[in-house]
Amino acid sequence: MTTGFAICFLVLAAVALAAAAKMIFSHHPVHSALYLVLNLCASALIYVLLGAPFIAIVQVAVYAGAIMVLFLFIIMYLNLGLAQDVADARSRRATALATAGLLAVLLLAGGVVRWSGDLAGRPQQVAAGQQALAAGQAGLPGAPAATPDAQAALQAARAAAQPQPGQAVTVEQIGVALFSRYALPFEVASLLILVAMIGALVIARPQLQRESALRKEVSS
Amino acid sequence: MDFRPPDMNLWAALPTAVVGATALVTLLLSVLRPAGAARRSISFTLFGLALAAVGCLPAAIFRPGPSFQGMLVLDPAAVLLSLLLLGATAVCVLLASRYLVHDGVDAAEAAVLLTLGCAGMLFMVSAGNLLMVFIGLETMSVALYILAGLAGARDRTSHEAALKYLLLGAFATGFLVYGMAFVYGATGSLDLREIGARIAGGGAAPGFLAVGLALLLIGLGFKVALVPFHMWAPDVYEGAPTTVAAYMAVGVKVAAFMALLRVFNVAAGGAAASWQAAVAWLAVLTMLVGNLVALAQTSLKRLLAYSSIAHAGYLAVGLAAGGAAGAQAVLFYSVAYGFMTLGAFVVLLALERADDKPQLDDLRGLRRRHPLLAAALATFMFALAGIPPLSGFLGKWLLISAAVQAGQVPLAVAAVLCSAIAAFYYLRIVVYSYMREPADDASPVTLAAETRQALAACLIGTLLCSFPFGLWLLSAAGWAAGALR
Repeated sequence: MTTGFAICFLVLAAVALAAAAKMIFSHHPVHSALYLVLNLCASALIYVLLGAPFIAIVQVAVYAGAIMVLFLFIIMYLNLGLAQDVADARSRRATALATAGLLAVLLLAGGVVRWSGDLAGRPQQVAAGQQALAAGQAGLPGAPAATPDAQAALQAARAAAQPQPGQAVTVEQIGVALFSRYALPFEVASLLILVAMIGALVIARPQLQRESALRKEVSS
Repeated sequence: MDFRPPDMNLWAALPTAVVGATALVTLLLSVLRPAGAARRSISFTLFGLALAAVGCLPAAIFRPGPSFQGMLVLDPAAVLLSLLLLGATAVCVLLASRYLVHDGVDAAEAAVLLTLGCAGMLFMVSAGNLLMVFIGLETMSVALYILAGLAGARDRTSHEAALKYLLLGAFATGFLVYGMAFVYGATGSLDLREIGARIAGGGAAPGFLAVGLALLLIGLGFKVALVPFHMWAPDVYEGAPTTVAAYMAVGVKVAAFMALLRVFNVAAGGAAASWQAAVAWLAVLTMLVGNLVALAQTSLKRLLAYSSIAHAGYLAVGLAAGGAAGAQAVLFYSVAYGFMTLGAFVVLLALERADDKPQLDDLRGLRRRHPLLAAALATFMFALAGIPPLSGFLGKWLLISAAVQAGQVPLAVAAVLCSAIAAFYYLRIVVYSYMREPADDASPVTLAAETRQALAACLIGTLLCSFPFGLWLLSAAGWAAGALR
C-alpha cells in the first residue's frame, strides 16, 4: 500500500513537474496552456491520492476546466503566434503528445482510485459483510460459528466506511471547517478577491473610456 | 458531524472591520453619487481610518486573547503597529488627494485601494496563523500592484514598475506558500502558537522545518527588500507614483517585519539555531549593499529606495538578535522608521515637478527657497542618519544593544559601521539644501495645504519618537514585546 502510494505519487509529481517545465519552455502559447492543463490534472490526482477527492474535482472543474477555457479563448482571440506554428508538423506532434499524455493520466486516475481501494472498496466491503451476516442469520444449524465472524466482518466494514483521519475528506467536513475553524480567512479571502476585481476595473478603465468616446464620435 | 460555532471575538476584529467597511462604503458612494465624489471619498476615508484607530482602543484595554480560532491576535504589539499603519495610510490618502489626482487618477479609486491595502497590512500585523499572514500579504500586495501602475497614463515607467512588482511578487509568493507547506509538514499546524509548542516539545522534523523557514525568509525577505532579494525595489520605487512609493516603503516593510517577527522570533524562537545565522548574514549584506549603493545615487527617489533597503537591514539586526530585547527594538524602530521615511517622501513630493524626478541638484539652496521645508528635510535626514537625540538614534541604539545582549557582537559592529557610511549621504542632502547656492532658474517652492498637513503629521510623529518623548514609546514597545506570544 505505502509503496504503491509512493510510486503513484512519484509518477504524478514527475508528470506535474514535466508539464510545468514544458509549459514554460514551449514557444506556442496554446501548447503552454495545454501543458498547464496537464499539470493541473496531475496535481488534482495528487489530491485524490491524499484523500481529498472534492478538492480534486474542484481543481479539475474550475482550473483545468473553466479558467483554462478562458485562457485558450484569449490566446485564440488575440491570435498569438498561431499562423506559423500550426502548419509546423513538429508542433502538431507536440499537441498530439500532450493530448495523449493527458488521456494517459486520466486513465491512470481511474486506476489509482480503484487501486488505493479507499473510495470504491468500502461500499463493497459493507455489502460483503451484510451478505455474510444474512447468510449467518439464515444460519443452517451446521454453521453457528459463522455468525460472530460475520458480525465482526460487518462491524469492520462499517468502521471502514466512516471517514478517518488521513482518509477521504467529505464535502460536509470541508464545509464545516470553512465556516468554523477557518471562518475568518474565508471572509478575508473575499476582501482579497474584491481588491483584485477593483484592480482589473481600474486597469481596464482607460481602454473602456477610449472605446466609449470612439463610439460617441461614430454615432454623432 | 458536530458543528462548533466559531469563536468570534469582534473586539479583536474591530479595527480591520472598520477599515474594510470604510473602503466598501467609499466605493459604493463614489459609484452611486459621482458628483463631488473626489472630496467626499477622501474625507470619508480619513474619518474611517480615524474611527479604526479609535477601534484599536478596546483591544488595548480589554486585551482580547487569540480570537477566531487563533487566527487573529490583536496584542499590544499589533495595536501599536496598527496605529502606525492607520496613520501612514491617512497621510498617503491625504497626499493622494493632491498628487495622484494630479496624475489623472480618480481620487475615490486611490483612496479605496490604499484603504484595502491597509486592511491587508492590519491582518498581517495581527496574524496568529500562517494562513492569515498569507491572505493579508496578498490583499496588501494586490492593492499595491495596482497602485504602482496608476500613473501609467502619464508616465510609462509606472507601468513598468507595476509589472515588475507583480511578476516578482508572484514569484516570491510561491516561495512563501511553499515554505508554509514545509512548516506545516514539519509541525502539523499552521497556527503560530501551535507551531511554537511543537518546536518546543521537540515534535517538529528539523530538516523540513529548516527548509520551510528558509523559504518563508525568502518570501517575506522579498517584500521587505532584504539584500539578495532587493533587485526590484529601486526600479519599482522610482517608477511608482511617489505617494505609492512612500506607502510601499513604510506600510509593506512594517507589516512584513511584524510577520517576520511573529514567525521567526515568536513561533520559531525555539529553533533559533536553524535561522539566526542566516538572518544575521542577510542583515549585514543588506546594510552594506543598501548604504554603499545609496552613496552613488543622484536621483532622490532612488536614494530613498536604497535607504529603505538599508533600513530593512537594521530591522533584520533586531530579528537576528531575537528575544524580547530584539522584538522591542524591531517594534520601536518600525514606528520611528515609519515616520521619518514617510516624512522624507513628503518632502520629495513637495519638490517634484510634473516633468522630471527630483535630483540631488534640485535641493540647492532650499533654505532660501523654503526655509520650513529645508528644516523639515534636515530633521528627517538627521533622524534617518541616527543623530542623537532623534528617533533614529534611539532605534539604532536599541537594535545594537539587543545584538550585543544576544552575544552577536560582530553584527552590532557591522550595524555601527554601516550607520557611519549612511551618515555621509544623509548629511550630503542637508549640505545641498543649506550650503549650496540655488541655481539661477530655481523656482520657489510652494506647499499645498495637504502637503503641509502631511508634513506636520510626520514631523510630530518623528519628534514623538525622539528623546525625551521617545522614552515613552520605548517602554510601550518593551511592554508590547513582552506580551508577544
